[in-house]
Amino acid sequence: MTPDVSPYVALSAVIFFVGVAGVLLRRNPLIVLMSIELMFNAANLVLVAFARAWVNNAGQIFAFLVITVAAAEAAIGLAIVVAVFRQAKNVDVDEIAELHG
Amino acid sequence: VYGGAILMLFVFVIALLSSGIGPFSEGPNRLPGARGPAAVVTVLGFVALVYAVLARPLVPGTLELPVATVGQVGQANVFGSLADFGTALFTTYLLPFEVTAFVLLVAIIGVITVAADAAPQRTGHHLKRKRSREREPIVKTR
Repeated sequence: MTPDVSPYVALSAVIFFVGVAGVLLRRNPLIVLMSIELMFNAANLVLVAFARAWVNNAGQIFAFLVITVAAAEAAIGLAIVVAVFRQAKNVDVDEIAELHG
Repeated sequence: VYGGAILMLFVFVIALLSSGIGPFSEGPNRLPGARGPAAVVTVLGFVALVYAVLARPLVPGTLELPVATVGQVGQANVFGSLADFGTALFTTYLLPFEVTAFVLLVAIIGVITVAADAAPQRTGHHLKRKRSREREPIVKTR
């Protein structure tokens, strides 16, 4: 009995593109970070769903590793936001252009 | 680790929402000029993904799906059990696991470098003030 993966894939696609829209549309970097987490977790959902459909551990292990990398990414993103806020007193992804060439 | 990081993210968001001080520029919380292109990119990406999934349906028989032996919740030594996961994690996938530990180490060092070095004098001043404030009540009671 193989579980049907299509509901999981559909839900994951919806979640992923909610995250894409958040990254593209929001100007608050914290919201952008949360949207990135949304995309990470959509990918995790597909990984775990397919790991269960193909009886294979690799998907679960990979989802575990993705979770770890996502935690590191969130920590580094928050640190960058804090540093930029100390410098500029204004955190807006559209107006931070100090590295602009 | 993940719980801590995500919890910190949400704490930051809540602190910002409740503080009322506007560290963000005025106006709506959206990029005003990017709405059209972003909507186009999002919708096109979603359509492309749906098309990619639907265009090549899995032909039955081409993929030999193993007969799933998914165990009950809590059952030991079957697929999906904690013992199965742990064994795979520490034998077959030991190297990625160790690399993960290294990634976390690099993240810790990077975060400390970026966030703590930005304003070292201010943090020192803040600590000094806090200490003096703690001493005050002792003086008053005497």
